[in-house]
Amino acid sequence: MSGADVFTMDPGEVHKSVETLFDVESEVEAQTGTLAEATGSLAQGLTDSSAALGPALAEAADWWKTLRAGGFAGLCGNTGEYLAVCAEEAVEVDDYNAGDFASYADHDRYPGRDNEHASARPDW
Amino acid sequence: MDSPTRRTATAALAAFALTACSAVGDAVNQPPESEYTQAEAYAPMEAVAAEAIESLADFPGFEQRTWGEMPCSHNGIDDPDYTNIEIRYSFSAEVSGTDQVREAYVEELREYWTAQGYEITFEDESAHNDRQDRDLAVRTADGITLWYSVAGRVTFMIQSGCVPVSDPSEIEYVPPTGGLEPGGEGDKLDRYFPDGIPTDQAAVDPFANTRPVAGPEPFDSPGSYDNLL
Amino acid sequence: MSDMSWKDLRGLDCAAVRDVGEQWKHYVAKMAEQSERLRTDVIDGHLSADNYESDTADLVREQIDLFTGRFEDDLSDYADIRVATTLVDAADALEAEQKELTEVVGLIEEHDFEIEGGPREYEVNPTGHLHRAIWLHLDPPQWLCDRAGVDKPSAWYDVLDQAEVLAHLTCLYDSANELCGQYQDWLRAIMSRAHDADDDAAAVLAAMREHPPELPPQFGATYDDLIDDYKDRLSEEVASEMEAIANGESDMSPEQVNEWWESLSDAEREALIAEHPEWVGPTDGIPVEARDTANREVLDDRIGDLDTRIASIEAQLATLNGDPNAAGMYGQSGADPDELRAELEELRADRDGLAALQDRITDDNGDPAVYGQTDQQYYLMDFGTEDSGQAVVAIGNPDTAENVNAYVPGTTADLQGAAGGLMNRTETMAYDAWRREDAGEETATVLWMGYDAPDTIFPEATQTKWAEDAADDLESFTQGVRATAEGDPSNLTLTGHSYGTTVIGEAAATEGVDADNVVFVASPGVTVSTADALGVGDEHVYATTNSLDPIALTPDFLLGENPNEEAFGGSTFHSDHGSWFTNNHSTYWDETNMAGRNSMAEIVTG
Repeated sequence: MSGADVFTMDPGEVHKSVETLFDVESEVEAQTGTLAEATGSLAQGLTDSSAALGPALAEAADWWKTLRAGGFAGLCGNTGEYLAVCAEEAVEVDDYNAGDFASYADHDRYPGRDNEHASARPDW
Repeated sequence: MDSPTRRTATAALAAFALTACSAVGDAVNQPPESEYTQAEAYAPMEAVAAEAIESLADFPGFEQRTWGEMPCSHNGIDDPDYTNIEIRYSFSAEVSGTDQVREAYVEELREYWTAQGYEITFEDESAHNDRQDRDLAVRTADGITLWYSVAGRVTFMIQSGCVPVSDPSEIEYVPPTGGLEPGGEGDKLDRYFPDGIPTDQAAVDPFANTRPVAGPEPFDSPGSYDNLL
Repeated sequence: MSDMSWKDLRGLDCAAVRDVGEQWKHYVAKMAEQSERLRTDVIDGHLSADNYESDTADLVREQIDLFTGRFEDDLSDYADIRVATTLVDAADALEAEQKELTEVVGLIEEHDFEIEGGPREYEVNPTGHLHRAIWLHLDPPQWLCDRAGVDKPSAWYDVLDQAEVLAHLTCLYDSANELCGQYQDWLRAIMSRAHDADDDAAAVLAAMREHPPELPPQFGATYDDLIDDYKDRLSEEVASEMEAIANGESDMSPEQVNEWWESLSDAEREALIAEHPEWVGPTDGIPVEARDTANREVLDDRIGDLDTRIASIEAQLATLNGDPNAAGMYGQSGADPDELRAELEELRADRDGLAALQDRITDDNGDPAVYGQTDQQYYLMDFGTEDSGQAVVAIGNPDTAENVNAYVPGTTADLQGAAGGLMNRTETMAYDAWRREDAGEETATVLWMGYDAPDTIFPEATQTKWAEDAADDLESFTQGVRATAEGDPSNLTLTGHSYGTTVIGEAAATEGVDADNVVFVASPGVTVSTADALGVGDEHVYATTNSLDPIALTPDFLLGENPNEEAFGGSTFHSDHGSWFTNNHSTYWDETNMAGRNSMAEIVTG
């Protein structure tokens, strides 16, 4: 491996990091989904009882799932992909600026991911 | 259903009753026009306390003394110009557990105070978990109340009734009774003497300005506060 | 806004609410395992410097640390403290009201009454069947005959007893209505507390979404531009949260505030006390030691600020006084001397009140003073100068004491009183508790003047508005005592005097108070007609009024039923009156009422 600032890089270990990031992403999404479903069901019952807690709980659960836990999961995936690119290509990461990465990410993703051949980050 | 007008009138009447806003009411609802001020009351109160303690056999000594106060009211509302002194002596937790102070002293004080002709104003005995609590209180002819109370702690309180508030600088130190060292650790009068116990007053004799409590006009007080209430 | 009917509340599955709350707690634990994986397996493991060393590697590790830290904070602040705790607490609160509801509805039906009206104004009235039994058939039910002291006719031909019923129809009717009124008050109190719990829970969840901190930016084209801003905001985040809590914007309960406070590091807590004591000091749910430290700092600053403002106005007045044309009109500075004098008078009153309070709770070395009789420190839990002024001062630390007694004073309570007579009375209560408590026990006695008390007996103290304004704060205070208690919960008693009893009654019936006992001394009324409506159990409701206290003449329609009445359903204890010639409304802690003082101390010390 070459690169101006890369002093050490064990691709196998970095791959394991990537796998862990992706695994955490999917675990969080799965468990949050299950929880949100149970919460939504309760919220509906409370709403039917004219409790103010019902609608507030439904919105809170959705907010949590989408923006907070969902945001965290997204960051796990995003960072995993970034690392994956570095590891796959063994690029000189410091020369590989964000713009380059963005264009690269439009063409290839980490193998095995749902969007491995498409950009999951259209804003890049 | 009462009409709003009637309700307002009744409310005003109730408030009137509470404040007793009549000429007569105003006269009787004030704290007593005591000729003694707060500053003047401590010495005779300590004197009558000392007499009671001297009557008790084998006195084990108090652990501490404080001077407390309670508000007095005018028309049912606290009046900052008057105060109600409560001198508080207490035994240590250990001594408070002895039969001597829990039982024997109650009887000794009853005998002594009865002999002095004091009116017993309160006595009570009640069980509290594993302990037996007792209270005995008397009022002297001049209106001072002495309250010996046996509970978790055994305490002895001397109360003035309402007296006009004095400027703190006017309050003179009066040494404690019951074996407490004047100005010592158990003599907790810091609030009244923040600069420390005045050494030139440490030897003030609590009896110096008084005559015996049982006397006809003890410490030149009004015959009874009650008559002024 | 909560719109639950009594039937909705009765049918509510509180266990399901609690169960989902527990699921959120379990979820938090499981998610924490995931964040731990990132820290242990990635940052310190596979992606450690041993395996990947470069500037970019540092950047990635920092990014993972940032978003993992954010998730951990989110899990604590939102999933746990807000959602899970809200659900569990709401389940507990609603279930307690549901239990009472079941009881009162059973009694209503048992007595042939019916519930009419809407969720916030329920009425309890006799059913048509009961009306007919009384008025038409002259055959009232046995319970009503017993209550009215009338013999129940044994059969349709029992003419004598029917005649007696006829003669006592008004009495029977009044008796039925009195019971209806009590059940109505009870039902309304239950529904008010249930609505309050529901609304509070909803408010916390809604507020949660209002101004959440941003997530770290993702890697991408704008990452470099955004990450520094994110780090800047991160350093201010704890202070922002504290501000939102102090301003009430977070809507968190004292228990949630306490969970949040405990989740901070020591350094964060110390920084908040040092840099923002004005937010820490008054907040229920923050431990009393921290509040005391913060409040003393603010008190000192406030007095200094008032001194400055007083000096400024005095200087302005001196200037104006030198101008013969300025008196009574606008001077050169544009200020009206009369307005300045009025402002000066107010500022001096505030300054003197605060200085007196500071003097009372501070020793000569500038340290917290100790009440010598019980060797307990004074703790300043809150204070203010708005209107008549507020002061919440504890003798002894409520967080560590076995018993806590909060004294709520009545009409004319103000800052000068808090530093003088009211504090004297509080000390007397502390002393009385100390006399009676068992070895090894401690009682903290709190002067709770956390509300604007009426200034006059008439007309102010005949109105409930002062109590209504105080109710939410008193509820919060009791919840705060619970939240910050170290070890087992204390035996918490609320002791009201005069209008202070109305404050307690209003708070207990409408918001709910988390107290073990309530003691009503010299009460003009507690806004409800039955001890059952107070939510603490009628066996924990105590009242006393001496026989010469004119407060007993207060009509019920003003501030509610006199809690000393047998029909009210609480316990009463005896208080001796003082002199026949004095107004005996404020003599309950005097030398003339030893029995009453002992009884109060007995309740307080359990």
